[in-house]
Amino acid sequence: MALLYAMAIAVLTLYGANLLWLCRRSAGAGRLIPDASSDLPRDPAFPWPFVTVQLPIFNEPLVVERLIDACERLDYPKDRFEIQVLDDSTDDTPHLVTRCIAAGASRGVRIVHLRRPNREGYKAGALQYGLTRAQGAFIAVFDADFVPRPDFLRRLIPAFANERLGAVQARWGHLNQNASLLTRIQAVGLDTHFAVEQLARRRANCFLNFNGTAGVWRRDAIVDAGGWQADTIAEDLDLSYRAQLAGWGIEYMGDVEVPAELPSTIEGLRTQQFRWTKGSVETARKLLRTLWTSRESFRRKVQGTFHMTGHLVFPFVLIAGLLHVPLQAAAHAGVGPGQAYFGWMALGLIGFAGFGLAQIFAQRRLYADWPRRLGILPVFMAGTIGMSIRNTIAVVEAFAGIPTPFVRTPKFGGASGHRVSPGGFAGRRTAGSVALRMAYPLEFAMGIYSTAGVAYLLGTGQWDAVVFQLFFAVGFVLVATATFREARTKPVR
Amino acid sequence: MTPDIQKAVAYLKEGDAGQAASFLQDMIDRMPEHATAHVLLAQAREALGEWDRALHAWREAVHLVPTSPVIFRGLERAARKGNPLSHEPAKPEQDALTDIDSLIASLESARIVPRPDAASLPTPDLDDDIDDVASETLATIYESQQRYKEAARIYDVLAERRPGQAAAFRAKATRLRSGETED
Repeated sequence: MALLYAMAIAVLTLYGANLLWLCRRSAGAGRLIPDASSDLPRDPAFPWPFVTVQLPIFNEPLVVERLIDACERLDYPKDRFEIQVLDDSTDDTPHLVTRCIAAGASRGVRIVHLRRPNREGYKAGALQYGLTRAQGAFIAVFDADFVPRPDFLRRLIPAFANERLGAVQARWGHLNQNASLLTRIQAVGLDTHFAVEQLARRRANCFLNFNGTAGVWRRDAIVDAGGWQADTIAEDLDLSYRAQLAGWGIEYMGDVEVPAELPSTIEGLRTQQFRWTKGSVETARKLLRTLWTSRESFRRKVQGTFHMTGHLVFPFVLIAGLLHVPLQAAAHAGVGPGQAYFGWMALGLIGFAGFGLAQIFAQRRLYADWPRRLGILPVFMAGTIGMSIRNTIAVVEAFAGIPTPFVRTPKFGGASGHRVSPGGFAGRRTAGSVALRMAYPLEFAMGIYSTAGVAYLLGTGQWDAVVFQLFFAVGFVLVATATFREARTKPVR
Repeated sequence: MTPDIQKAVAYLKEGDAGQAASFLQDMIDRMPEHATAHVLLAQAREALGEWDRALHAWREAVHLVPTSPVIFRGLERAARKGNPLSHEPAKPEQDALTDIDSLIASLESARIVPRPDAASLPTPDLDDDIDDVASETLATIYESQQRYKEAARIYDVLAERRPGQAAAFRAKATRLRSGETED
């Protein structure tokens, strides 16, 4: 037991230390406060290439008009871009789309509405289907809940002057960051990814990822890498690595922000996290071997591995949460590991510092009022711990290889698959797996267990362990109660 | 009573049952467990003489609030009228609206009491939907898209939501409405 716990702490420390390294590499990057977009190159002679803007949509009646409208207003020569609405909706959304298209056409924007005969391959299938009909040499992708600013293409496209550049990713911003505690917590997580991880990997010349939306691809790079494939549920990460292993570069432009809506329900967050966790582990399984047998530098291999397997921390978080109190109790009773053991375990603080520092760096880089925002960080840490049960299930499902048949996705999404998808392209809908439904009672149980642990540690005066245990208690109770209350009010979104 | 429900009741009292029905149907699509909305929708369907759909709405309502005598009577009435064998002309009962008023009052006042441990924790707002997204970010995007009316509307919402900065937000909204822009 002591060994298992030590292993969990060691893994967490490793990933935390890696974050520390990323912090160091991102240091000195300056602020990323958006968006002084006034002085763009406006040379009329600039040879703006033809761009296809792809909008994969699945049942998004509430946001689709805002999205299409924003894309129609992109400040780019009207005869040099087209919009593809890749609409797999089964509800009323197509009617709304038709209306938007009429409005766009009257403004002289080229816009087409593509409906597929089926939903094979989900988002990857839709993007691939659109690709076969796209006229652009460059492909921009926006999910339904994003709102690009008019200057988006003008700022990203010039980067492709570098002929080996396969994709450019912009930074996600937030439209509803202050709507609730939940959205504030999520914003912290995404900010850390975009303002520390992506930035540092860019500066250290490591592998980056296209985040599925708010970026532009060079069409040749997509084709060269093997196209969009639907055998993982993180088609964005998968394509990113395949393209980079094929020699294409990915650029990250942290100073171009594309705001989006954060899921406003814990259900939505859960689904998104599930997709990212399971998808990245699937991608790791699919591509790690290729990565390590490639001729990339050792550092890029190591960082790529950390990147793709980052979500593996969750099972270890769970193990730590389960074993912490029993070990403390055993030590207290004089039968467990001694002081030296816990002394070594205290090294885990390095990992903890890594996680914390990365968040602080991100907030400082993005917001002028960052000190005021730091109060949310402990809640974010606890909330992340609280998600560890669902994310552990996602990891297990990915390793169990819950069948995700290899779909080569030639033209129409290819062979049929029986994959259970989390649905909605923006990842908002439920993933109805049986294992996931078990998460609710498990979270509830962990909440009680961890809280009892806090009480025990307080009762026996083991003050040094209380703070650590509090994170687990607050995290699981937070997630369990939020889920519980949400289930009672049943919002649709 | 929530503003939405007030609006629906107003439609009903004005006799505009069609409008009320489509408004309520929307509401129910968003909040399928809103018992009051189902009850009012049933009323509206009755007033329109659409007894089958009224019956459906009453059934949904009974499902949510199995104990209400008003709902139960409504269910019976709709079942009777919906039966093709009966040839009575459709006519809502006189006391229906007053009954409904008290039912709404009791439904709306019946709040679910949160468990004590849940109350001590901050929980995300779940009711706000699209207005959640009113933020300065969105306002500046609308401005950059030259949709000044939309931007001004967002600033109005922000002014209401953050009284401390209301004056500044309102000034921005006014400036946008008067057609001036920064540049």
